[in-house]
Amino acid sequence: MMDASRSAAPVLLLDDHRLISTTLLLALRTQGVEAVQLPITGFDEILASAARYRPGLALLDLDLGERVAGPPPNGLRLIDPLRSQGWSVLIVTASRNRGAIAAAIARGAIGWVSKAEPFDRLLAVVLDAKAGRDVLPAALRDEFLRLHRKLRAHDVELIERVRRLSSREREVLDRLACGRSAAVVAADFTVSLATVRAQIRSILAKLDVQSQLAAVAIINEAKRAGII
Amino acid sequence: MWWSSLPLPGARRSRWVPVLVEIVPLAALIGFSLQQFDQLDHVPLGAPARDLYAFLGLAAAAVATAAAIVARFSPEPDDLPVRRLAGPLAFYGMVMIPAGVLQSSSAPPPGVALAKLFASGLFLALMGWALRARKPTGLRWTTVVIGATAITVLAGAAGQFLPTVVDSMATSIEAHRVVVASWWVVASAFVVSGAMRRRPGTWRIGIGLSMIAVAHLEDFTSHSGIWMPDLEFAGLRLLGLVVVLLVLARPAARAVRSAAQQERVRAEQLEAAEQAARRVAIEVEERDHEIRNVVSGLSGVGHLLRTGVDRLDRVARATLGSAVQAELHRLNELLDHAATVDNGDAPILPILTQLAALQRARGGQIELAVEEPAPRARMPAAELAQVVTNLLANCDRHAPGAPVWISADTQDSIVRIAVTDKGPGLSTVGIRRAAGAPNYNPSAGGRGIGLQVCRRILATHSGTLQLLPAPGAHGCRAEMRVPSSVETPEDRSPFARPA
Repeated sequence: MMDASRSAAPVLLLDDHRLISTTLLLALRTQGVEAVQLPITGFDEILASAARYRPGLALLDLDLGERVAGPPPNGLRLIDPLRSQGWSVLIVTASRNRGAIAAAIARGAIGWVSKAEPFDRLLAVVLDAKAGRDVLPAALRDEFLRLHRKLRAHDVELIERVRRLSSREREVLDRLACGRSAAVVAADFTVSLATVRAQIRSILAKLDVQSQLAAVAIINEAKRAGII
Repeated sequence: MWWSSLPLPGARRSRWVPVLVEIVPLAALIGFSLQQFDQLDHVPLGAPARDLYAFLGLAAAAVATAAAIVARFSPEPDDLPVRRLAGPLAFYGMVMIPAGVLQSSSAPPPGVALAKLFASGLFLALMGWALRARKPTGLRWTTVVIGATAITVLAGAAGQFLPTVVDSMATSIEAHRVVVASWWVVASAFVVSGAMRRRPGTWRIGIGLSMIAVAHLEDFTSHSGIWMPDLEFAGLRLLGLVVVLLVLARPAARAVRSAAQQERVRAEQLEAAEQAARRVAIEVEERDHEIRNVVSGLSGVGHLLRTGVDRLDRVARATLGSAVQAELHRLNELLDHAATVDNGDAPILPILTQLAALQRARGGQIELAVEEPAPRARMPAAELAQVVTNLLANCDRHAPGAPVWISADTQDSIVRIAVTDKGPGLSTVGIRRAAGAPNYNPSAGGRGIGLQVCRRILATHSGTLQLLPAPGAHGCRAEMRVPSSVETPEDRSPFARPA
């Protein structure tokens, strides 16, 4: 079977949701298009199995679940290596996170189709992509690229601000984010409360915020975005 | 401030006692100082004294102007129609005192005495009007200052053309007596009105005005001026104005502080609410994402059934069937999980963190210690939050301002959350009462119903609530226990704990 798939470039299905990936596979087959589901295990395993096929169209879900390292959208990280293997990557996602979609387009995905579309339409987009037709109007692509640049600037600014903190200030802020009070943090580090208060003041100044809660919100956002 | 420590007028004590408590020692002090200073009279003081006299005059002008500004921008307390004092005080500080200092440096031209008389009369009338007037008049303080200045200048100008007899009348000892007596009348009116209405701010301004009135006695020693300075009177006037300024500044400072505090609390609460909303939004988005995947898959099944089910072989159909089943199973789990989130799996750490943050934002001192791994209680998160909120409210009521300590741990599959305060604590009677019927304690401002509600909520989840004296000398400890919703590793290991 593997040799057979080497000769005809199959559509690669990279989705941890079994039902959607199975229905897509069967629907493509009834249209006479060969497709394969790759088991969604780890990052390296996925790339290793993809390398065994002749590169063609890969349908990639952006949220690949917990078995692939990293917080969602962890599928993003597959785009570059898949493209360097020669795959065209079409994003098939249920996510409404336009930032993630914009990031995928910026990394060279050929387009994007939402799982919220009727299945017939979803299938039609996949078949268009398979046939090499354009699935993303240039204007829309530009819009996504602009959005990506904007979000990227925001991330950079967030990183900038968090990087201004010294390592001790980071530790203090992490503890505050866990709900500890300044007095407990002082006890943890066996320093005086005045010292911790001074550190908190310095943190607020460096992050350019007015309150402890705002500082905690920043560090939480940075962690959620996976940029620190 | 020196009077802050004095007792407030009690309900039964005469309304005059607190006034006299302040006035008598102050009067004695002023009398004593004046007598001491008097011994310095006739000592040739020379140029430095003249400089000092001018300095004291200008300082008095500055303080009076500052008092006017504070009065203008002061919040209107019930105590006193403060803003109406801005006009006369500004007139006194910006016109009367500087003019007095300048004029005293030379022999008075005709008309000046009349102008001084008019100015004093206007000032006192405006002060008295401020005390009497009930409703805002809409008269701006700048209008008052400009109007009073214009009238004074006109009086001075007119004085130059009037017969000299008017000027000599204005400089006569009788005219001074009228002015000083009017000062005393207005000052006393403030003291009496403040005492009658139990308004410390008003009578204290009266005290300040009395000191200035004493200072105006200098007019009787008609030789006073920059050449023969009466420093004690100039100093007393400054002191009187400082008293007025301090009295006016107090409510203003309080208002500024409380506004800043409220602003901070509001901002913190807003942020806490925003964070909570963001967390909920993320959870909802995750769940929606899962559901969209299921719907999309089922839509695909529909497509296959419609278009090509006969083209699917047996293996394909079996694969599809098992994928549908797996997806439905996952959906079920998703719904079950959603149900347990609302129905009996409360994560302790985020709930307590949120409550502690709110309490801190309100200005409370609160410590949080949650053991690792963070316990989860087998009860709805909202109800757990309500119980802890009630316990914190209880601390607020019985030990206002006292530091509070929250700890949470798990023992033998029981989550234990203790809220301990360092307040006055409970008597044994109090503990017994709190354990049983609603505890009515009007002096502490509560009926103990909050604790009854806590107990009832906990009882429906096989939980308990106990009130204990806090370890150590003071304080009260409320301890709730509720079954844990996760097995701790020790519970699973047969060797962890002897049976």
